[in-house]
Amino acid sequence: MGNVSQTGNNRRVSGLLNPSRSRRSWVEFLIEKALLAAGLFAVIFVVLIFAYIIYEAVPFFLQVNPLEFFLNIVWRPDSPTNPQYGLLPSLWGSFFITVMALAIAVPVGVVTAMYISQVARKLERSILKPLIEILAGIPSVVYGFFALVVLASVLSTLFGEAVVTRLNALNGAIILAVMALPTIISISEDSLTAVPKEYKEAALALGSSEWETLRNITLPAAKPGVLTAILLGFGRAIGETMAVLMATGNSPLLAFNPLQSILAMTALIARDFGEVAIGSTWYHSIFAVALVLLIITLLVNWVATSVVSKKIGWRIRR
Amino acid sequence: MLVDDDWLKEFLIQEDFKALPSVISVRNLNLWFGSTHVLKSINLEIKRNRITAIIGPSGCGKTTLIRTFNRMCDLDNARVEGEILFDGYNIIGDDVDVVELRRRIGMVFQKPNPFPKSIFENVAYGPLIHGVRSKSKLYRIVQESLERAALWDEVKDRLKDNALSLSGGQQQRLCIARALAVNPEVLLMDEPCSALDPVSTAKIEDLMLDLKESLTIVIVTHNMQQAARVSDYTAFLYMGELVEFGPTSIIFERPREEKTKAYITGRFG
Repeated sequence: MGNVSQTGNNRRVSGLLNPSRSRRSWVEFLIEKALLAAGLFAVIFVVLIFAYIIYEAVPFFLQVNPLEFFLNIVWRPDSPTNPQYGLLPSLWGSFFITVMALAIAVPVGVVTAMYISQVARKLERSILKPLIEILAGIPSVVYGFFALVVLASVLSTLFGEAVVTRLNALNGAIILAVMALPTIISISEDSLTAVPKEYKEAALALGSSEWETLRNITLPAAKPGVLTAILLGFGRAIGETMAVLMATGNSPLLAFNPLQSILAMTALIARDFGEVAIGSTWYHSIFAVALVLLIITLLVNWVATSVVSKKIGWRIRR
Repeated sequence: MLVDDDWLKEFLIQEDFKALPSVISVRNLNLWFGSTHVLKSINLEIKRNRITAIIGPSGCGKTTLIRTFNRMCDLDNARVEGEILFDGYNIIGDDVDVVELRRRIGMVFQKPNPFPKSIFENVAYGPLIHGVRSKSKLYRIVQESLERAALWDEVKDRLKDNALSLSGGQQQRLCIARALAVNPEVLLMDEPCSALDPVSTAKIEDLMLDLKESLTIVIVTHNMQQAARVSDYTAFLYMGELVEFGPTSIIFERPREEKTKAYITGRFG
């Protein structure tokens, strides 16, 4: 008996020292590091871009007072006698069209998401969802072209005399709304669909109608996801360049009339880079604008993801 | 003695059954999911102020059957034929006001499913959507319902707390209170104790015995001891067919059908 158990032990010990084991652990180690490297690749790019933009923006702030940059309402960097580098017109321009775009896209998007996740039959859903995903796949230059040629003309006929410039903020906002819709719809729809079926059943069994259930139970439970959708839609709209460049007319004016031309930060960067002399103050000023834009989008994304993680916390607690 | 005691007892129970008014009468009920025939020609009487237990092995259609009573089966895309008479109306049909039906026939689910809101809001939800606006009336309904569900003493100081902070058994009693708050005539309970520990289960069983004074209860249960303990009538369902229905004591002591006997003695299921 003792012998038997001893041989058993010996075999196990020799198994632990098996040379193929250590080879296997080497492979494991290499795969792990390769995955880590792949993961870091994206992170490294973000850091590099951030570092580069800061590096190129610093000379601007050495030449121009940051206070002037943030408070001046004139953007005229190409003036040979008195160049002015005011961020406000383009910052306002970006916010103005983004907020208008969301004012259109959020109600439409959330209602669409409610319809797809709660009301639509299987067939309708299988038609609607891919169509909305196609909307996300259309290149932004196509949207821009559509806004430039079709939408601007429609708005001109619709508002007649009130239109200050043919290409204007409203034109850009509408096209941005269409572009932000897929993001808002699909993320809201996911979070509405993820609301546990038990809540809906409980509410229905108490005698609430479908609409009451949706309004009082499903929508509040999905609220964090819907908020995330709105924030990501905001990020999508404020970062959009090509369509905005083509649709809004790009005059750097602090305009509050939606039917007047504005210049968004993204459009400013894209437009001015074509004409600027490398190394000039103007050149560095563009990086300063890019830095502001980058910080805004990072902030929005950070808030959006922290809302998502709060939602996950809520699920786990359940 | 010409008759023995058992015979007399059985006779009295049968007479009692005949004399009691039915709240729900199921007549020749058939139900399909797609092409699967799930409920086959069910006939059943649910008696007022009594507890009717529906027992049977998994997949026999117990839950499906009680979900037809308040038309929750609409959510499952089921095709239903036959009659379910409630208050003189056939509730199977497109012209039925399901919202009103579900107010009058409440339901408690297998897994406690309080809303992720406060305890107060959970119970107040039903009255609120049915138009109770007065705050004092709402508070009174919430208190009454929680008292009826034997939960008031445990939660009266923390009505604002999130309902999910309660224990599983408390959550299930909260769900009962929530269902009672709209003052239903019938309470459907779909395996209400299957996710609960024995102590919580005992509390809910006591509660059911109290509640049957004021309403009619239909309970689906996996647990045969539970059916024997709380119910007055038992229906044994097998493969979508109603094998036997009768007073609980008779079903458990002298079942007529061989299948019922096999199931309650634990030979299958």
